[in-house]
Amino acid sequence: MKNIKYILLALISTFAIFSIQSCDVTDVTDVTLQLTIDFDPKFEDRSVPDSSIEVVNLEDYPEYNDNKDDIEDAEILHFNYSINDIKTSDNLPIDSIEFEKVTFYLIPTVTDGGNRIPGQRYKLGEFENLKVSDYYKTAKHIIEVGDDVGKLISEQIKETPYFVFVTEYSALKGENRDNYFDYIDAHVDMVIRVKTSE
Amino acid sequence: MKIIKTVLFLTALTLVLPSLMKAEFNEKGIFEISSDFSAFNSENFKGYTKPLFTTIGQGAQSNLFSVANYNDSYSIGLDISLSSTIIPGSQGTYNAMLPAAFGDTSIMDNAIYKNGQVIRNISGTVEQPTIYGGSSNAIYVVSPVAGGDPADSIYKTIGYNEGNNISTMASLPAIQLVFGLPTQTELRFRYLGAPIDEEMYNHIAVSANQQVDQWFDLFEKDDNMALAIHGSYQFMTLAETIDMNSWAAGVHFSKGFGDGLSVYTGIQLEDLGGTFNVARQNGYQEEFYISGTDELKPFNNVPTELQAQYVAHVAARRDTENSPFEEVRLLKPISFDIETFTNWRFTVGGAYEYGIMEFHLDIGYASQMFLNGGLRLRFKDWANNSEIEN
Repeated sequence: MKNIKYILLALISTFAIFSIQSCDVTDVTDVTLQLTIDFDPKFEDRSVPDSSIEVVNLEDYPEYNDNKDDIEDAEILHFNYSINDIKTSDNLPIDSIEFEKVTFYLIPTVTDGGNRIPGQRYKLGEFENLKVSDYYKTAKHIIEVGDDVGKLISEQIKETPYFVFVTEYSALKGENRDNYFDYIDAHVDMVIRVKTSE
Repeated sequence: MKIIKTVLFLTALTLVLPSLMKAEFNEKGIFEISSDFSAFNSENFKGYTKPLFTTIGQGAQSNLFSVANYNDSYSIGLDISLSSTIIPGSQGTYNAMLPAAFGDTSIMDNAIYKNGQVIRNISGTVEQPTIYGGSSNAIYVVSPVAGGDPADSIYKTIGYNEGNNISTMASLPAIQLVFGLPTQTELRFRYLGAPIDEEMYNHIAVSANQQVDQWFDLFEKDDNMALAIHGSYQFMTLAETIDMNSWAAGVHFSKGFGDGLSVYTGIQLEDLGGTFNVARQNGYQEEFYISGTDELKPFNNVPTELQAQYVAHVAARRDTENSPFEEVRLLKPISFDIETFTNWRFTVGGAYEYGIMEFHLDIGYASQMFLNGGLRLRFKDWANNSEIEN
């Protein structure tokens, strides 16, 4: 009999612990989405080293517009950088174009009296020895953004849908280091984790 | 995401008071979501929610029995119980369907970033979290790979919904009316109904327990043992959107130890099935399309009475025209057959009877392990034509 009582006591204790720790349906209906955005940073009529600046407006994405008032947290997880097209003034073959480094930065913005004010610049990541031919229309060059920088977007996204994405091109490797580019048509796909609460 | 939340809520409503649900039903009684809902197609929503339906099914078929010794008298009572399930890690992921062209390197280059690794040109299915799982993995897509403008391509980077990192899940209290019959039979009834918008959510459950050992003289009376069979049928409906039914059948055994203490065990076969159907606003109608194709008919070829809807449908398609999933692109409904992981469960527990009360607590092994506990009150018992007051 004692054993049975112990078994029952163990069952009761286990049940109590699990009941307390159990999630309820409000947890089930929390929604965390990976919002995918894409934009085409253009570097035009300039010599390297220099940067392209792309102002990203999240209002271009219906998922953001539908939920912007309920966003609790947001975080840039990672992004893919590829090149759609490129042309130097002296028509260098693609295979011969190699940057020492391409670095990406995020500049969160805040709104003050209707004006957008860019904040500090934060490094998202970089590729070294970037051979253009390896980056031509491919999905394989993914940069994981660190938590500290990725989460910077969380607060600003509640105030303004804009952030600035900077692509900083270094000088080229080899000869023609400060080559003039008619254009570099890049493409960036970015994944942003968005959690909402109502 | 409000839409996703609403759809998930709809799915979860057998676990929560349905009156909290905010839903909009169309004139056919089908829950309708806006046309720009592109997060899921039917197949992936089915995989994402299958563990939730498993919890719903297991919750519905829990607490069907306790001690197998049923009095040979009329009785009436009430049973109130709670259950909590433990979600196994294997139900934290499902194989999400990828659009058909994925893997075709003449159309696209794709890559998934998972655990710090880049895996390229995946096709078929990809592991993603269920509603109980963790982080999802977006798939990067660059298309076309030669010529053309990426903006015109329907193949773009796609994200999947994340899970909620849930390892244990409580279900709603189950309140049952319990009737005893002199044939050593016990009948149990549950009902939960609530208005949602202008429709009614109904959950009706009927179960029966029949002691059988006395028919075969299996045990001596002094053994204080009993054997019974049980069965249950339940259905849950919400207009034309949810139509679920669940059944269970099994056998259970108990042994008493005097002083009101008993232990019991049982095994049962069970299933939950049905259909889930959600329409998209200005959604797909066969009459809008050339038979057997996804090409829209010319306006003049659409029946006159449908032309206004046709125009609205064409306009609504602009929101989803870049989805890689045909179902989403054509605004077809989210519709699937409900399935669960659970078919068998083994239960073991204990009960303590004191006066009109019986406390019972059991643990079950099924695809989701569960703990179930409750209190049964027996208000009246009529035996041998004389009323017994408890």
